[in-house]
Amino acid sequence: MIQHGFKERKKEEKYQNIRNIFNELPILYLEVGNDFKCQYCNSAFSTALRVKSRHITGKTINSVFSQSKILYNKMAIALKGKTIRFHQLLYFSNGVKMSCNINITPRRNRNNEIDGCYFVIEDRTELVKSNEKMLELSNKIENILNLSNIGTMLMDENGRILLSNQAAQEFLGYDKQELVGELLSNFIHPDYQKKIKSIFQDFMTSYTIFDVSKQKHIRKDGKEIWSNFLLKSVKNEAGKPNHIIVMLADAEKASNVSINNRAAIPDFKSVFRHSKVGMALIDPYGKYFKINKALQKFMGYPKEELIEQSFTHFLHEKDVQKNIDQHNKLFRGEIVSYVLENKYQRKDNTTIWGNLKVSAFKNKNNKVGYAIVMIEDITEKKEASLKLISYKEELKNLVDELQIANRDLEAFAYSISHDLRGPLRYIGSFTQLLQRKVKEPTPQLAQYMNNIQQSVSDMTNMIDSLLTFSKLGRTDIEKQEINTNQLIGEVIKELLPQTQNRQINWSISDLPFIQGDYFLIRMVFENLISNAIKFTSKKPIAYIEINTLATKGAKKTIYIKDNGAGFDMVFIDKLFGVFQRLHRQDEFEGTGIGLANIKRILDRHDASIKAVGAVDKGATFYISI
Amino acid sequence: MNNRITPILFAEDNVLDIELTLEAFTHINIKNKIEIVRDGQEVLDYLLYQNEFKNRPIELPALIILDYNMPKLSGVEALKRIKSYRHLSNIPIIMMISSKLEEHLFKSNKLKIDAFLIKPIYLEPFMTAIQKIGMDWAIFNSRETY
Repeated sequence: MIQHGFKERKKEEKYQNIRNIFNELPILYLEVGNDFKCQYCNSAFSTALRVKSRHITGKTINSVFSQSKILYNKMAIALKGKTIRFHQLLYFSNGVKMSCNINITPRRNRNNEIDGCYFVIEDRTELVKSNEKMLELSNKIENILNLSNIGTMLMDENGRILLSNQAAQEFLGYDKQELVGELLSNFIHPDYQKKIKSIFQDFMTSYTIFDVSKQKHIRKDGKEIWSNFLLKSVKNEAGKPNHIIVMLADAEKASNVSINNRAAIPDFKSVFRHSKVGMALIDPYGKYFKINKALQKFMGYPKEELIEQSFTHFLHEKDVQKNIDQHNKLFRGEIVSYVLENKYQRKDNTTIWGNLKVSAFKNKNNKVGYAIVMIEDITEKKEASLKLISYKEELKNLVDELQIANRDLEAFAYSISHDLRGPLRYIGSFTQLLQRKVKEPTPQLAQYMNNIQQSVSDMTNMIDSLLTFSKLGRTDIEKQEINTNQLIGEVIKELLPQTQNRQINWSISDLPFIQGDYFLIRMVFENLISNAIKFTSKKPIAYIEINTLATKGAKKTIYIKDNGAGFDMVFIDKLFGVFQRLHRQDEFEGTGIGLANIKRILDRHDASIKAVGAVDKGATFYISI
Repeated sequence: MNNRITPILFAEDNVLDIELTLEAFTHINIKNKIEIVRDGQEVLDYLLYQNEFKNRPIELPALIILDYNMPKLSGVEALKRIKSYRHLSNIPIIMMISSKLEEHLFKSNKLKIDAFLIKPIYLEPFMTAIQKIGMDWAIFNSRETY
C-alpha cells in the first residue's frame, strides 16, 4: 500500500528521478513492490511487451512473466537484501520471448526497510544471436585453417591470438586453449620479443603484408625452434586494419629457398633438383640465381659461370632481342608468362634448341620479384622439323621451277609453231604459184613440187596440233553438264565424210551425262571416234561400240571399243605421248598427237583414260570422268 | 549514176603476204583498185588524208583488210581507231590472222569486225576466200554506194 506522507513524497521524488532516467534508456525497467505487484514500468518495458504501462502497473509479476516461479524465487532472495544478477530467457505472458540479463536490486524505503525490487532487464537477444553466429563462423574458419599444413593464426590488433590452426599448434607445441587469448609475443623467445613487438606496431600502421624472417620460439616442451612469419592485415569495413593473419613456416626447413628473402615452397627444391627439365630462377636483371643440374647440362656451362652472366649470354644472337622484350614485359607485369623457342650457344660452341617457358613469381608487394624458367631440350624435334621444312621448301621450289619451265615450254612451243606457220605458208603458196606458172613441167619437176606440197602439208598438221596441244595447257576450263549422247551424235555426224564407202556397225548405248568443258570434251570424243573410224578402215565390216560401265564412286566410265588394227600392249607407254605413233604413216595417217591431247584434256578435268588393245584385234579406250 | 568503183584498202607489212594476196585478187578478177599500206598508222593516214595521203583523191574504201600483226599500230588498234570515227564506222573490215588460235580474239570480242580470215597455207583456199569476200563486200558495196 502506498502511503501519502511527507516521507513518502520525498521517496516518490527519488523514484521519479530514477524513473525519468530509465525512461530515456533502451533498458527495460520495472519496479515491483514486496507484494509482488508491479508498481511502475518504463516505456522500453511497455514497448517490448507491446502494451500500455497502465496495463502492467498493479498486476502481479506472475501475470506479466510466464516463468513466475523463477522470478518469485529470485525476487524473494532480493527482498532479503541481496542484489541478484542472472541471465534468463524470459517469456512474457503475451508471448514475447527475450534473452535477457536480469538485475534485481532490493528497494529500500526511508527506514531502510526493503519494500520492493528494481528489475533492470537488458535485452540480449540480438547479441546472443550474433555471438552464436560468430562462434559458428570462427569454428568454420578454424576447420578450414586446419586443412592447411601451414601454421596459421588470427590475431587482433594488439597481437592477441584469436584463432589458431592445428599446424600452428603443433609447431608452437601448445594446444588451442593455451594459445587463444594470449599475446603471440608470449610464445617467442625473450631475446626476440622486443623486435617482434616493434614489428607488430610498425606493421599495423604501415603495412598490409610483411615478411618476418627468423624468430626463435620456445615450445611448451622447452625445445627451441625457428620460424619465418608472414603477416597479413585484415581490414574492417572502415578500411582500418583490425586483425592480423600470421602464417608460420619452419625457418630451418625453408632456409635454403629463403636466401634472398623469398617465400619457401615446400618440396619445390627436390622437384627442382631432380627434374630432367632444365629449371632456373631468374631475377629482374636477367641473371639466374638458382639453376638445376639439368639446365647446367643443357647449357654445357658449370653453375658458377651461368650465375655470373645475363641469360642473353647463352642465347644465339638471333634470339636475343625477342627474349629481352618478353623478359622485360614479364617483369613490368604486362604478362604473367611467356613461351619461346630458342637456339642456345653452349660452352663448347655447339648449338642446341630449347623450348623456354618463363612464369612470373610475385613477391609480397605484388611486384614480379623473380621468374621461374624452364627449358626443355627440343633439339631433335626442332632439327627434324627444320629438315622437313627445308625439304618442303625444296620440293616447292622444284615444283615452282617445273611449273615455270612447263609454262615457258608451252609459250615457246606456241610461239615457235605460230611463227613457223608464216614461212611454211609462203613455201606452200609460192610452190602452188610455181606450179601454175610452169607450163607443162617434166614429170620429175611435177613430182618434186608435189613432194614439197606434201611436206608442207604434213608440217602444217604437226604445227597445228602442237599449237592445239600447247593451248590445252593454258586455256581455262569451264565445266558444264554435257549430254554425252547428244555430243557423240554431233561428232559422228561431223565425221560422216570419213565413213564414205565404209560399212560401220555403230552400237551406242544410253550414256550418262558428264561434267566438263564442252569444247574440250567434244575434242576428246572427236579424236577417239575419228581414231576408231581410221583404224578400222582396213576391216571389211567395222564395229564401233560406245558404252558405259557401272562404276562405284562419283566418276563415270565411258568406253569406245573398235575391231580395228589395235596395238601391242608393250607400247602402251608410248600411246599417249606427243608425236608418238604406233603405225607407219603409209598405213594410217596422223600426227601422233591426238591421244596426247586427249590425255592432257582429261588430266585437266581430273579425269583419266586407259587403253586396252591387241594387234589386229581392236582397241578399247576407257574414259573415267 | 557513177560507175567509179571505190578501192579496197589493204594493210599488210609482209611483202610476201602482199604478193600472195595481190595474186589472189588478180586471179579472181576483182575490179577494185587495191590500195596498199604497210602499218596501222598508215591506215589512219590514208583514211584521214594525212601525211603522205594528204593529197589523195577524196574517196573512202569499199573494204578495209587489216593484218592482225603489224608494226606501229596493230590491226586491232587500227580497228579501234577507225571505229571511233562516225563516218568511217560503216566501212566493212576484215582481219587477217595467221593461225586458227587467234580466232578467240575475235569470236568473243567487242571489236566490231565484219569477218576474219585465217591466212591459209595454200593459195587455192585463200583465193576462194578472197573471192567470197569480194563477192560479199567489195563489189556489192561499191554498187550500193554509187
